[in-house]
Amino acid sequence: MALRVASLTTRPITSCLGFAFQLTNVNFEVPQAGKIALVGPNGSGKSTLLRALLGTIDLLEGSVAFDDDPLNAEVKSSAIRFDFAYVGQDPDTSFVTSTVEDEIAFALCNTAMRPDDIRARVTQALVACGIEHLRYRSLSTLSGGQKQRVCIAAALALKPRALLFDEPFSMLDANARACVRQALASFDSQTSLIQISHRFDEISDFDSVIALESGHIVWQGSPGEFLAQPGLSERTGLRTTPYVTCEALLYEARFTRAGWTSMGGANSTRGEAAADSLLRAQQCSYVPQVKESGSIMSGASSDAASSFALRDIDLEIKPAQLTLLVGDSGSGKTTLACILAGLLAPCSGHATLDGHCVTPGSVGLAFQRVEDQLFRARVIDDVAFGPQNCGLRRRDALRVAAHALADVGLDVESFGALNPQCLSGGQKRRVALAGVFAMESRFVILDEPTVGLDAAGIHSLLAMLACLLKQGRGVLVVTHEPEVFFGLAEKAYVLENGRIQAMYAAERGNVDA
Amino acid sequence: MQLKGETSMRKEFRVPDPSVSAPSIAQTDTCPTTEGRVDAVPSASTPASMRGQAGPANPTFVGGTDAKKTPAPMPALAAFSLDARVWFVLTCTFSVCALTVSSPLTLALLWLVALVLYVRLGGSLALLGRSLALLGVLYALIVISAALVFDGTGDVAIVGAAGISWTGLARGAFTCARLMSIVVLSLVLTCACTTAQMSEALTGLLKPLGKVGFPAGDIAVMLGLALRCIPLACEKLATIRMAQNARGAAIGLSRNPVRKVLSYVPLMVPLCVAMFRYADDFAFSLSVKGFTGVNRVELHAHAMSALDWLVAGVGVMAAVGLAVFC
Repeated sequence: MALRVASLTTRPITSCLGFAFQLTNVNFEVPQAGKIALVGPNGSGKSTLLRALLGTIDLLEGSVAFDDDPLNAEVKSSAIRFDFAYVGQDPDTSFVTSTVEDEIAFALCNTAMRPDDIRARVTQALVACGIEHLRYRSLSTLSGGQKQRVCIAAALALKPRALLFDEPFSMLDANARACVRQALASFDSQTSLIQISHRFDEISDFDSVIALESGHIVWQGSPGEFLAQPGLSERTGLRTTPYVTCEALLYEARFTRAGWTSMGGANSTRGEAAADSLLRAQQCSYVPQVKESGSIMSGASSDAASSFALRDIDLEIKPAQLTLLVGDSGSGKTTLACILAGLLAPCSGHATLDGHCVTPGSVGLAFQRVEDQLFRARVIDDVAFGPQNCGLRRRDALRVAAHALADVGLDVESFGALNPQCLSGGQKRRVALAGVFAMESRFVILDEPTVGLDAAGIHSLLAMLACLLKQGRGVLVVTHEPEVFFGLAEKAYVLENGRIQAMYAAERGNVDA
Repeated sequence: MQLKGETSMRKEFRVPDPSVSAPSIAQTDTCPTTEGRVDAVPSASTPASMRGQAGPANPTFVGGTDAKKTPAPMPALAAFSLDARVWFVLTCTFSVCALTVSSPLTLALLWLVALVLYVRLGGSLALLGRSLALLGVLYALIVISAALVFDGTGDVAIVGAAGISWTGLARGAFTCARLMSIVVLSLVLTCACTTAQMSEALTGLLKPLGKVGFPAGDIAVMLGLALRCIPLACEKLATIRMAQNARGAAIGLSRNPVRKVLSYVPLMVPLCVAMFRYADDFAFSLSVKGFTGVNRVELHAHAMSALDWLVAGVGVMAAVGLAVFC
């Protein structure tokens, strides 16, 4: 049963800045068990297309049909249940229950199936994804990779005709991504797959690639042809960095392949003479609090407290140098970043800036989804918030904010007076980063800045970092994708289970390149 | 850029790490081809009461779900393995009882029983203290309004006709004790049941109302989502607080009450935006999962045991007896 989408046109969606967007005349066909990739820059209409197929967006015209079985308005609600199943980017906001079994069974419970049949379907889906041992676990205790596998199991349990994946790997590290891919590969099915992706390695074995731009299909062909087409990768924002396979998951292999040299393991920085201008952690250990039993919050977080405790961390960041802190989810990277920014007090040891204890506000820190910190009604006021907290007068703070906006590639004339909540996702992230850079602190820490960025976003991020380095500011990037920063970084620490396991330095030639 | 009150700020911080909810993948997220399987995976037909024992994380499991993680397993909990509906009904009836009893001795007895239960269920005394202190302003207002008299009948004169009445003070303290006992009883409920079990229990109790047109299915899902949102909101709040502190914001540190309230704006606006986004995402998720609120199949329909009925019956009768006669 092939899926045919003909002349699909959605109603225009108008943003708060007055820009109208609509999918226009989209035509494509997906054969049974076929795999189609949707690519395109942020805002090109990929997610809108999936939502149109799901029936959650009104169509002006066009048809969606499996062979000659049109999904008209009357069957739309049942089509949601039986024909398509959807997996999004963030499992946390797609879960509507508390346990794995309930989550997988939720959609099935909305059909007229008998409970025994539902349980059988749940079992099949769990086995297909290799997570039958998680059946009775609370969702809040699962890792990112496990959560996404639960989402996929919930989709497979519906036995849909087509699976719709909206960047299901974007929030996972390489290890979890490999596990989820393996689960998908082992699932033998006649189901078609339509997947949005920003990475070529995820879709290299797909049957066809559809490139979207401003709501139109601008190119359609095989992955091989896609790569051969000059300039298409750049135009669609597809990242063509090589896929990290299971065998090459070790950071050692990834760094040595890129020509980096090992500088020894933990504590290799200990005993060095302290430089004048340096952000460093000395013998830092940290044990997180465990939530009390009886608190409604006790189910919120994992009980594996020891997995993100830090032990005897020695680390230093120099001015005008990009340092990487790499490690898988749960290794303690963000906790260490908070200690270095003075936001968490280590249980032992200390974090120092120029030999003095770090205080909140003295080191810039941008968390993942940094755009969540925006709160003022005007872009310029939000960026000036930090400088004003540091004691600058409003006029001076606004001047500093204007410079910071320029550093992130936004023009204060065009953007300064806009409401940050009306901007696009990429623009919001830039404004929020400008708010951090405007602190004019000599050291800046960025936590997983590449999450959810397409190639254009990565490019502008690297440009911002280059600008910071040029100003003589030291930058620490916390990431699980060190390859993105190989061109700028000079030093990397590998954090594993709360310890610095290794340290690498880039060859000078590599840095210059 | 040194901030004032740095030490006190630090004390407030909890682990904000978004990865808190994601333990080490190297340890827990194994590939399907290499991972060790749990031998005793319960089958789909395993009775609900058995599944709790087989489930890896919940020794108190009673219903069809397993959501609670306790820091350490407590053998004593086996004695409290009652259906969540029983806990729910008992908490409600004894809360009403606490509001209606007139004898301080009876209220003290209620307090004692609730405290013992709370401790035996593994509840933290620190959490109990914090929960009771949360309503500190309310207690103070109740005591002051009950104790102050302005008609010259006070036992201790303050200014003019204003004075303090010992009877009023005792009445205010008794009212506070009633409110506090409800807090303790609620904590017992959260210790005894997982959030999922509470949600299921309420759904089960509301289900009969569905026959007269009450939207029991909608309420159940709304409650489940609300319970899921609480930890999500708290984690988001902690992250935003960290982010704003890193920008030099001194949230809640000012002694000036107006400034203190205003200092929370950088926290509350992003939180509201994030919660609206969550709400949108949840709504989308519900719609793609075909949720309509009607004709949902109940996966965990299970009957209460004889012990559950017995405990519920005796408990309700005891509560009614205390409320009427004491």
